[in-house]
Amino acid sequence: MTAQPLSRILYVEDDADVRKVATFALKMVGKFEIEACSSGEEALEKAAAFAPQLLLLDVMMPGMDGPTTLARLRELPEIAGTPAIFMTAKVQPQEVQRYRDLGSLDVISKPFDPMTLSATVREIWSSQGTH
Amino acid sequence: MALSPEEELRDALRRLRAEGVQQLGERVREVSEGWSRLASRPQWDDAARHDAKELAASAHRLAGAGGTFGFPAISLAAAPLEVMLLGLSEHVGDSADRIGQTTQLVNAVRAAWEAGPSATGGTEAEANATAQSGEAEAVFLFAAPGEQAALAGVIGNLGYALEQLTGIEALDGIVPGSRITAAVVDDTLPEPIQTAARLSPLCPVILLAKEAGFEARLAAARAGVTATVAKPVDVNELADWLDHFANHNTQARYSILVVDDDPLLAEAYALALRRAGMLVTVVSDPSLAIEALSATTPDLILMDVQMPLVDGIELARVIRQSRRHLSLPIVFLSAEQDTARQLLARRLGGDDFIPKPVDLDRLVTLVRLRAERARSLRAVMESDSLTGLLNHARFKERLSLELERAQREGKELSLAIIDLDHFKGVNDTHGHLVGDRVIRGLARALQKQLRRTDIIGRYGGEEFAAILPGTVEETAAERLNQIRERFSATPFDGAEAPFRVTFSAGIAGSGGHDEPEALISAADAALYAAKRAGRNRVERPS
Repeated sequence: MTAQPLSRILYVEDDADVRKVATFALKMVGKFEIEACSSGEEALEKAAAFAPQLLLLDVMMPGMDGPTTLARLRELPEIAGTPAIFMTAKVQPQEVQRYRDLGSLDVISKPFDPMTLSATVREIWSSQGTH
Repeated sequence: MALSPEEELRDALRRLRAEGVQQLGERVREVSEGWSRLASRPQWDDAARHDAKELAASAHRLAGAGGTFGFPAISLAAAPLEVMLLGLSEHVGDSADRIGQTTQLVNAVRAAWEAGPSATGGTEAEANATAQSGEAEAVFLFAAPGEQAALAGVIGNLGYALEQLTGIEALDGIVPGSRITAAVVDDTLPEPIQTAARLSPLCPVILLAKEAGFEARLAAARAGVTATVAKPVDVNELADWLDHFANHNTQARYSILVVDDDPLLAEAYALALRRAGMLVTVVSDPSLAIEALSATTPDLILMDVQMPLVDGIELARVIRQSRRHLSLPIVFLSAEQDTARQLLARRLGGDDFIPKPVDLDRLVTLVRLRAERARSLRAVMESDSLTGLLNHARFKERLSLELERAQREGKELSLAIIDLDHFKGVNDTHGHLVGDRVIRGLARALQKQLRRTDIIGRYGGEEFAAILPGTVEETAAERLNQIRERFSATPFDGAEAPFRVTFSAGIAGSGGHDEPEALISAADAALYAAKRAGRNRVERPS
């Protein structure tokens, strides 16, 4: 499948400070349109109306974690086919595979570099379908 | 003065980071003060559990944000702290061990904050420490132009990717952290010791030295040289070192078995070890430890001493009853102050004591060191000293295991027994040193030409054996025949002139043989037939 240019990203991260840095970096460096949510619940409320092209999800969140959020989001008809990327600390090769099995394109490890985050996201986006 | 958009962006990010760091500090204080209040509470009631849950959420945020804002050490301590606090919020138990361990972790978080941000990302170093790459790694060769070609040929033939360098300046372009198998430094260079000293922080250094006396070796050791090979270079010796370093770098991850009756503490230890790239199995019922031991074949056991029903010392005794586990390192976790009991535990097979509450950084370092040493020791004990192949006893053990596996998976394996022809004559004519070189030559030929998954052993004097899993008798015979042809064409340096050596082999497939002994007899009989039919041939049972 050929990837469309990426612009709309739904971003879910429970930590306000981390969310602020990443949102800022994605908007300013990547020129993306970002809907930032602080929890899986908030993402479920906002997802359909925002119609994202990509989901960017923190894995470890209190309450609803990243994989659960993804599963619930995918139940929405509008989001059923939307690709996702997980963000998590300390990724080991076999974990990456597990996250891929859960339906994500790839995993971005935390801490991330705000200056290169957008490029990483774009790279993963454009490589989909080539695996 | 107007800022460029790029500078403006960096500036804004810097401000955001500064805010984040400030928040981080406030959370560290919050966790630290909250825990002091909680730990001094006389009763572990619902209110206390509720507070523990709130603190767990703070610890979670610390773990997530620490790395982002330049404090990876905070993340390292906060992640197990979250595990402990969540556990305390869910369970009724508030044992002294748990409180002690949680306090230790809170202190570690505070210490990480007080130490200030780390200059490097921290995660990169971590990633490097655990990275496992299957790529071919380079060997660097430093030699004077005259020697370069000959040495390059030797190393290239051993199957290593080679980078030839003539001067130390060439090192400037190398990124720290690049994966280099080893550097070979020839002492015909103008300043070999200085070159070695420059290289030793980057990778293992092998010095090819004409002068191999004590003084020279000491100077080399001081420069960080890992191995010295005397000139004229024995190719096998050089190959052994390179293989050693190559394996060393790609070794599988350490497997650790954690036995602690408190599942919460066990999980906190496991988390720290996993983050350091180890594979961890947790058992909180000591009676299941033996089962877990055979299922996971760990490199090391980490075990609590004080456990109800079966204590750690008794369990160590049970583990040591099995010959296989005689050398398995056991590290005890103990709040034990009684030196007499500590001594008893050591006598019964404990290799180390780590006091409780556990400093998780220290735990990781100590476990890694112990596991590493145990692995090298085991490799020496299980292998034949001349060839590095499995020794007779270990080979037979592997044969039983592989036969069982083949039967379970419904596959066939083949066993080859290989014997050098007229080897006594080689020793008599050329001397034992040359004979040893022939033995090693055949070992190397088998290693290079069989598959990585095949298992090779030195069965006795001039006799070798190989297990070829998933291979029928006919295919195995073909493969051995190819090896035989190539080997018989390889010249060895003799006392006077080069000479050639041949071998005979007997092959037997596992179809029809359930027992290792029966399979060995069949292969032996085939070998005997090959010898009788004139040697230098491969036979199967008729």
